[in-house]
Amino acid sequence: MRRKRIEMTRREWLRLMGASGVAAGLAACAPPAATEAPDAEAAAREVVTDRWTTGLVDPDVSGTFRILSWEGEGEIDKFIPFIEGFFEERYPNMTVEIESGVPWTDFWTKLPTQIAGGDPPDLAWQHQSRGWVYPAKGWSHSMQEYVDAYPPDGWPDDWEPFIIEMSTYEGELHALPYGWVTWGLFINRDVMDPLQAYPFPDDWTWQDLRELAQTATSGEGMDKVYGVRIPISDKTLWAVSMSWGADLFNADRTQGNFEDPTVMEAAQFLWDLRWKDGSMPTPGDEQAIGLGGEFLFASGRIAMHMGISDIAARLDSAIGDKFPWGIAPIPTGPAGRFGYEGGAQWFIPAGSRYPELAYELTRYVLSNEDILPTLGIEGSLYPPRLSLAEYGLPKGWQEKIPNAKHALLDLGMEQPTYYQYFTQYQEWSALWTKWLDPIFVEGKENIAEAMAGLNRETNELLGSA
Amino acid sequence: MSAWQAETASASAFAAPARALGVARARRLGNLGAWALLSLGGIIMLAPFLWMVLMSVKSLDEVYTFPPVILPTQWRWSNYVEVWNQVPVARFFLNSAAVSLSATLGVLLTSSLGGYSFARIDYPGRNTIFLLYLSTMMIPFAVIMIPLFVQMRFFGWINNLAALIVPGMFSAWGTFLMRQFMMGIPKELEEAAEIDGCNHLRTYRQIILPLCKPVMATLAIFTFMGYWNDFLWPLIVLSSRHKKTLPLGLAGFQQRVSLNTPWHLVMALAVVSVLPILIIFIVGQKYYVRGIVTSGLKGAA
Repeated sequence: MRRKRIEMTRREWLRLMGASGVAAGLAACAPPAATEAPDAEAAAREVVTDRWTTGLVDPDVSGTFRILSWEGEGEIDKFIPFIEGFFEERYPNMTVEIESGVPWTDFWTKLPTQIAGGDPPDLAWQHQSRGWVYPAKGWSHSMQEYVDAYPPDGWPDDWEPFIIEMSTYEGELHALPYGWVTWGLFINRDVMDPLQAYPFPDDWTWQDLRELAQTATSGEGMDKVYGVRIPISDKTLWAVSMSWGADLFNADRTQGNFEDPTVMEAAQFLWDLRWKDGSMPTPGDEQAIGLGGEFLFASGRIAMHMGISDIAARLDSAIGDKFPWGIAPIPTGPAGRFGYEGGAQWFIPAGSRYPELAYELTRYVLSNEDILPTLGIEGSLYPPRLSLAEYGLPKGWQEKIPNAKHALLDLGMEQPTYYQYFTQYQEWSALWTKWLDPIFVEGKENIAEAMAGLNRETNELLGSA
Repeated sequence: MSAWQAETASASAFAAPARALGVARARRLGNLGAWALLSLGGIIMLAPFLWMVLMSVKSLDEVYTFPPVILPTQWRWSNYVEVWNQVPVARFFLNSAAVSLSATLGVLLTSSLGGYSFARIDYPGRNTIFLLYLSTMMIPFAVIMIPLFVQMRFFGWINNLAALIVPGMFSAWGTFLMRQFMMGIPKELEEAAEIDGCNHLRTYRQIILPLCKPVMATLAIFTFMGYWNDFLWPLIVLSSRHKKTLPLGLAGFQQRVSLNTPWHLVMALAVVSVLPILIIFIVGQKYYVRGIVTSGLKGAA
């Protein structure tokens, strides 16, 4: 049998392609198929009214509750069952839409655009660095009234006070924390055991760290082992400087203090570690090796790595059996230890269509002692309630790294210290980059000049020039 | 001719081919050097792409091996199946295709109509309007992001692909490109069409448009590639997973596991997302290059 050949002219083909494009566009723009009506069983299910509901929200409320998060699927998965369970049991007519995995930097473009454009999510993730920025700009909904009338469980005594302070702007709470972290020094015991008995003493100092780092540094080129790696930023400069008795700013963050001799000395200390002693890799070294951050430590090339507590589980998996490792506390100084603590929160964006519902959900998930231990699984952030913080440490670590809890958590809770972000912090960060990147990243030596320039422009920005 | 002259002439007769030989050799050497330099440049340009392809067929352990290994010990094509099973690649692909195709068709239509109007029809304020339209190219996207978002919200297109397609159907650059090309078409053709009774629309459709195929191909390639790779605006305006385009899916997938990012799978997805662009580029590279020439040199003339 002869098959008839279908022939198409170029014009017909172009028409077909055009029509297909239009059809695809129309199909793609069509609203999603209506969700199935709740089945009889769901309709008959009794709606729960319990201590987690405030009575401010009609149980029959219907619509779509939108949540925005930067967390990737691995992290957000911990929250989803509780969020969905909350709505299924108490507000069955509501649909929840969780948008997660938004890249960190893009998150801070998307969220303000949505708020300014009048279509914000009903609940969103928030970071302490923006804890005062959003309330100052009127972009967040105050939670104070809700907290006063319907306090979260354990409020306020069982909550990490510093993180509450960071979320409080002009006396009003604008966010509830879902987790927090502390700093520690991750120790390669293969390198360090011959030099310093492990666990490290609580009273070891920054000067001890420098001397140990110099001794631990060995080899050349691609075989070089570096004594220490400290990610140099305003936070690390603050940690060293504060332990020596000087803050980077005045108390109410209206004036810079970068020309203070102690702050200058702290900057010189960090510069020396990297550019004079050669005991800390330069950005160029890291580029040549092809590894950075905790991966460099996991490769065995760093003796002591300063990082936040939530990298511990990641390190454990990356290091495997390559070498034994441990955790030391952040070094101390005459003014104490400043093992920075930080965290992240949930907040209700201004313009949220369901603020009361958002608060109910926040209170249910973030203060519930049946839920919080699950959120802190596997060495993630410490849950916000102090009595449950230990759940943020990886399981079984008491045996594996006996000092982990003491170095990371106990000392953090004993001496809570935090870096106070301020409303113009994002703009100020550009000044840090402008003045201090040439010093710390490129190795230029004129620290005094750079600090003077930074101080001058900081004061101009903060209005105290 | 004296003996001396004869000798000189004879010497020149030998010297000329020798000189020519020297010039040819120098030229060959020069060419060789140029080719070597260009090849080196090509390899440097191609290396990240090759690295991506090689990563996509490695195991995760090999990805993290230090020092890095170039070729995988075992070629794991199953990574592509795995990523296909983990992420709704087909949905992302369809969304990207729908947006890119529709916006490209829209741009071709509006830009050619606009270009025709600005190039071939005389009316008061034509050049002013054209300059105004062209000046929109100078406004950074960040400035119009919020007003555009408000507009999309007004139309009810938030979290809808229409918010990507409809604003994407208009391009000042495309209109400029079409206008410049159309200005080069002889006026006599249009006059002949007018004598035959054609109105503007028919002249545009039957006379001008068929002559614009090369520039339209150029515009189509640039536009399609732009929308296929677009990230920021889709990120802002879309929220549901089933609405996301490939670049968003790729970014989300990279974020999805904060502990130990599965780079081999991320790279497999990156290869998949790059394929259509690669095919389009290979098929239409002469138009792509011509586009750069047209918009950069000829267009400016």
